[in-house]
Amino acid sequence: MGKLFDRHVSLFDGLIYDRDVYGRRPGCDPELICRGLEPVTEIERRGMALLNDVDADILTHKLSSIVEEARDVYMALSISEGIITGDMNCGIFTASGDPVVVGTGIYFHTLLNNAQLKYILKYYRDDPSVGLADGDIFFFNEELAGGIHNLDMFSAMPLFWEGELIAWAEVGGHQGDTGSITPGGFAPTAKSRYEEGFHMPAVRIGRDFRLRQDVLDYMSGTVRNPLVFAADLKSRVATLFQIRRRFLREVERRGVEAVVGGMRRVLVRGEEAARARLRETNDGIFRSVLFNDDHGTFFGLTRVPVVAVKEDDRLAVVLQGVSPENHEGPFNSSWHLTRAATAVYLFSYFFRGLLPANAGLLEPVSYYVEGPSMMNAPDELAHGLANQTCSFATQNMYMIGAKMLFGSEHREAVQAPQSRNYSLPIFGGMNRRGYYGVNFGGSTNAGGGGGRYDMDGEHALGFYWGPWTDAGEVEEQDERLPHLILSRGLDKNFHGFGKYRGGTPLLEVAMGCGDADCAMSSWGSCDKLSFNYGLFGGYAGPPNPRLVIRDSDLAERVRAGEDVELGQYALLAEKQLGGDYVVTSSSKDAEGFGENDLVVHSVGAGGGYGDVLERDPALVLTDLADGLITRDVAEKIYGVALDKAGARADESATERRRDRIRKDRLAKGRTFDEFLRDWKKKRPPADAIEKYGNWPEPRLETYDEPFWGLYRNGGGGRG
Amino acid sequence: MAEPQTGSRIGIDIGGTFTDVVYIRDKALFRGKSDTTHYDLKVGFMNATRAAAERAGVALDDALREARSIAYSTTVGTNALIERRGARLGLITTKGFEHTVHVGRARNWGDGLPTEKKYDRGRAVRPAPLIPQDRIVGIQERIDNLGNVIIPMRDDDVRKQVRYLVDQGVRGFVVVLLNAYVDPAHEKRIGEIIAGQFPECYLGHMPVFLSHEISPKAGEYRRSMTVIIDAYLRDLTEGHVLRLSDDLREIGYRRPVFVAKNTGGLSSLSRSQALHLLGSSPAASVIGSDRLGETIGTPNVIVSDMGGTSFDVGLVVEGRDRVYEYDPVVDRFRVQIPYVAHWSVGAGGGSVAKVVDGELKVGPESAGSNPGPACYGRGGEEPTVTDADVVLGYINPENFLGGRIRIDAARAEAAIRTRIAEPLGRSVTEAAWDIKRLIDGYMGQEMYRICALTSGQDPRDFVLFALGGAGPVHATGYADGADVGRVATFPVSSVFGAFSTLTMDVLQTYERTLHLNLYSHRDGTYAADNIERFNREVETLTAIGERDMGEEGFDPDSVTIELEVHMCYGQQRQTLPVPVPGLRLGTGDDVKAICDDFNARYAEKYGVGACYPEAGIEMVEMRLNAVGPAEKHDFVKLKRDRKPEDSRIGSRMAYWGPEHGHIDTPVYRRETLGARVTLPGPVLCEADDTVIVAPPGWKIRTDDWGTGWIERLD
Repeated sequence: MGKLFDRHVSLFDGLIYDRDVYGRRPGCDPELICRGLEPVTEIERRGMALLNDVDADILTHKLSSIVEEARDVYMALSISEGIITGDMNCGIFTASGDPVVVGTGIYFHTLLNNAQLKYILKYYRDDPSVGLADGDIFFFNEELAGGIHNLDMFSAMPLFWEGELIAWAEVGGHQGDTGSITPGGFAPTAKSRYEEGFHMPAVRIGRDFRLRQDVLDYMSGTVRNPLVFAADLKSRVATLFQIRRRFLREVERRGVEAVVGGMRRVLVRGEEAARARLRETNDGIFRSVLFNDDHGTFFGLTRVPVVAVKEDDRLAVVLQGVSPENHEGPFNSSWHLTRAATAVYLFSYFFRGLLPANAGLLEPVSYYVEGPSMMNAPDELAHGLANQTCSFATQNMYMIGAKMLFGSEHREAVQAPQSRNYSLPIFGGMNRRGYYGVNFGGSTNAGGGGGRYDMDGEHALGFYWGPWTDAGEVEEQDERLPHLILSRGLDKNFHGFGKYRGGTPLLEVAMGCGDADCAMSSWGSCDKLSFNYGLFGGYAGPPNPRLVIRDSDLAERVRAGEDVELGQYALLAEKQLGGDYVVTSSSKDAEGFGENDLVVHSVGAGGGYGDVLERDPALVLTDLADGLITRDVAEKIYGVALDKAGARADESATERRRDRIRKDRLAKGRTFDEFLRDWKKKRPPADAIEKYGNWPEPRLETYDEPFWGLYRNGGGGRG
Repeated sequence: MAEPQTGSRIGIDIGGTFTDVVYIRDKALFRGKSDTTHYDLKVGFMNATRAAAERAGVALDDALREARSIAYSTTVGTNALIERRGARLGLITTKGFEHTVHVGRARNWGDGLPTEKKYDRGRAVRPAPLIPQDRIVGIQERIDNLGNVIIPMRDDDVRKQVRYLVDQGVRGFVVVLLNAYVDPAHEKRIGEIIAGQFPECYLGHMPVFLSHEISPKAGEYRRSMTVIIDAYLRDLTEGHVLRLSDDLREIGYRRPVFVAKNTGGLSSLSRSQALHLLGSSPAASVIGSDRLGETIGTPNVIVSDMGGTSFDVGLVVEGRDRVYEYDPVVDRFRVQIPYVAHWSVGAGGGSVAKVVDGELKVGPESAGSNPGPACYGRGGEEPTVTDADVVLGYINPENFLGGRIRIDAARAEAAIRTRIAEPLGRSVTEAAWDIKRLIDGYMGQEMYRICALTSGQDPRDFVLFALGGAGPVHATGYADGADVGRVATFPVSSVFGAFSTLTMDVLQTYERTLHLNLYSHRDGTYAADNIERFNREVETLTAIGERDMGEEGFDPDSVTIELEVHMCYGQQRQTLPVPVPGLRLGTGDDVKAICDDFNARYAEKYGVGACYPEAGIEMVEMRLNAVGPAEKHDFVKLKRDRKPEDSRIGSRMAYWGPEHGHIDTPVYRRETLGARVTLPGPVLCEADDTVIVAPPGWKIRTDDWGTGWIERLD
């Protein structure tokens, strides 16, 4: 790295930063996972020389069309709710395993699982007991070998032309069950990987273009919904065939060298474009820190800070001073997942417009993820909520990226984070058509967007990890899920306030169905602290704990002809229903749900942008009229003076009120030194930082030993 | 007074820029064209009809009086929708779901946008609503998917919410309750309450649009938008067509005016929905291509229409299976209608070329027709695809669009030189060539994607119909990108939409969601116990179809009833249509037969290995078409009575890429070419409204029907 990095970044001796913390294990080679692009091959070099810019652009468009088509086919043929709503990805990779184009769904997978292809090439291709041939079909869902968590299941197929391996096709998505100790796969109480269901590193499950029935039977038998599992696996294979057919036709038309060279060129141009984008932003050191409040099934603080050092056309992302790995639950990420998670931000925002998303874009970015820690955790631990854990880095990247881009010509990408305040129930049981269903619902794909530098954040923007997904329709979900959704909409005061407010999620209120034997687990965090920061003075999106109302009197009330509001605000702030209100950590093990039991959930609201006192009063009135805020918020937060009906704002009275609020703020203000002095005296309650590490720095500055030894023994000081 | 003439028919297509007319009289076909008069569409209608009639030597009034039928495709609704000029409506829905329309499955910010915009979530903006949030109310009620009432509805709640909407000034009510397609009791009750409050016999009657009547299908967002758009445009569309009918009646036309529908057929106004008129012109072009394909012997057709701002694509598969979209995006909203599939890509003669980060980009921005390309001399400075065509020598500056627009070739060259060639260090000709190749490549890819994606068809099995002013100019370029080897052009290419309305039958389509298990995943048996329900539903729809076609004036014996069911494995969201030719199921063997058919179709589309009947086979939807045959135009074969040399009008220098460079290229007149003529490329064949461009390695060949084929020489 450059001078800034050398001057300001000091990595601890004895810790691992540039790769996964665990070593070689069956089916898994960390050295392959942390590799960047593989070297240019001779055929790629020749092919690139054949292509002019126009030819290459057209070929890129064609390859993108092929994976876009694959995306639609895969979503159409699958049954798992996750896949059909977009938690999936289809890609074409180089022969050496680097992702070139993706049809998504979800960006996450783009930069993951390619290590599995590289593993096959390195260890199996020349092994006579396995080998690699045209028509082979591989399967993998092993997070340690480069994946996310074992719910994300992939199939891959080598693409041969005249006997030579020239590319790979890969298709995968989120399945509803893994055979873990909790229906639905997410096991919030799991303390080790052995409680999280089946993990398979790359395994050949078919040859000569046919799935092996014995393997399919074995795999289907390991999960609770074998029919769905098998149907989705078949849909993945059908999609692979589709990609293969289209891709080879292109090779037939354009020649193998042109296509292979064109694929490499995508990577080369991706890297060039990313470097150019980086050069267009100021050099500097940018920081953001996030506190997590949940260990799996109980509250407690952990910390994830991110420092980005940007110099010329390079970016170093450093995670240091991170809280320890989690032995009590599945809140553990990995080096490769942390990297891929930040790339989701980079692809959608920082590198906005540099399509297609590909591995080349990340070549100028280096990652230093301290381990062992919760962001780069040992292999034996549970990793099921790695997708939540790694998002801590992503949320920080939103903040860092906004600061980097604000002074550049790419300010249009500046915005507060999209919501990651997840509280997500997983339902399992027999649906009303007699099928066993287990999965999350479509509202997962309806988190609020962050406030933007020039406009409000979008409501119900989509899935956190991907650009464009589908929340489905409730009538379809009535057909598929074992519970009944009673309300799904945008709720009051449920977003980050600001000059431009954050977006509100779809908030769902659902009830169990007695006949359907409905069970529910759930996962998430940010129950007390928000991950959805406000930007440049905007308010954070609110925390989002799990709310369950047991034995509600909903049925009685509606039978009696009463009006009942089924929003979170109405239920929590106004307690409109009787019943046992249970507000807990978002992560819970499976429990039965009956007809009078309600669960209130969403995936959270986006943060606001800018000072609330700068919000146009007309926009405040619109929010009020649309039921997005209460009068209290309009008056007290936004400082708008309303008439009695709340339909008009008094301009001069509003100005006076806002002036008064500004003066109050100044009166409360302190110098930064004063603030720091008082802040350093504060310390959370001991039980809140039990898993935090040392306070305030999780790792002592002098520390040079892995956490493993330090915290397992309950220590708080240097071992 | 002129009597109705056998075969005298008028087809009209009102487009965004031009109004086209095809007038068929005594088996001859006459074209008319006029500017579309947006202030009053009827004026353009009459002007274009007059132009066509005059070509036939008939006065406008006489042509209208003697016509046996008028078929009409209009963009009146499309423009109103774009400009948000529809009715002031209120929406009544299930309480707790008042944001369903705005949120649109969380995906509606990207629906209807090109892929790169869908990937740009940071700049996501939802479309402007047709009904703002303050005119949407929730009624406390809930029915589940099996028809069980989970939360009962109260009349006083309905009255209160209706009163609120009336206070907001609404002029009509749309009612969409959850699962009303299964049990419409609550929707019906709301309809009764509103009808009671605003009876038809009094002024101020308020129309009520109940979702189960307009679209009895699952999917509350799509159903809502289907009903809302229909209601939003109803008054406006109806008023327009009624005024036109009245004017025609005054002139002496006494027969019904048929409107073309995006579902692929015609119907009289009294049997049409406003939503079905949106996009009816490109839909009609697909049907027209089907008919024309049948005549010239090409059952598989990719229909392409390249105009100034957009590139429309449709498909005809095996001359019968038109490709339908069942939840198409209209404007920016997903709806539920069986929509003859056509896709609009942001590419055309007006697509702007620019250099971004050292790379050439073409489109999607368009210079439109005003200011238009630089060569139009209307103030446009940016180089476009048309400018490139001028520089390359394909477009004759002296005869562009029949001389209606004067082309300034120097401006085209200057725009490309300063904005493209110099920044890229290329010559002007090379830059123009790159612009052409890039836009052809994009359009070809889009066609390829559409053909492959929607039908799983191999584009090599298809013939490309090149329509629109720019289509024949670029056809070989984008055919290459789409992997299509043969291109057909037609004398009616420039008025193809109008021509196509005269190829459509009268059609009514009836759909409903109906979940029936056909093959059990539990015990592997075919479900014969659903047969009675199935037959009952079919009989109900058939009776409605026969009644409606009777109203259209058809004898029941002449009406064809077609039935298809949509099926899936287990609980897939994707379904495949399967025809049920006998319209009835008798025994379990019949159930097995349609399951077998489904398995076979699934295997054909996705491969045998993808089939999975073990997960169960479900039927989820039923669709019934009632078809009344309309009179068709019989094409007349041309005589082989002309020599190609007679049509040659000169030559000019044209550029054919680095391999061939500039070639002095022969130029022919399209209108005077006879049958069975072959012109080897490179060659240019000029018509009033386009130029057929055949590069080296291709040829132009005419057949007996006057089709201008562009084919590879080998």
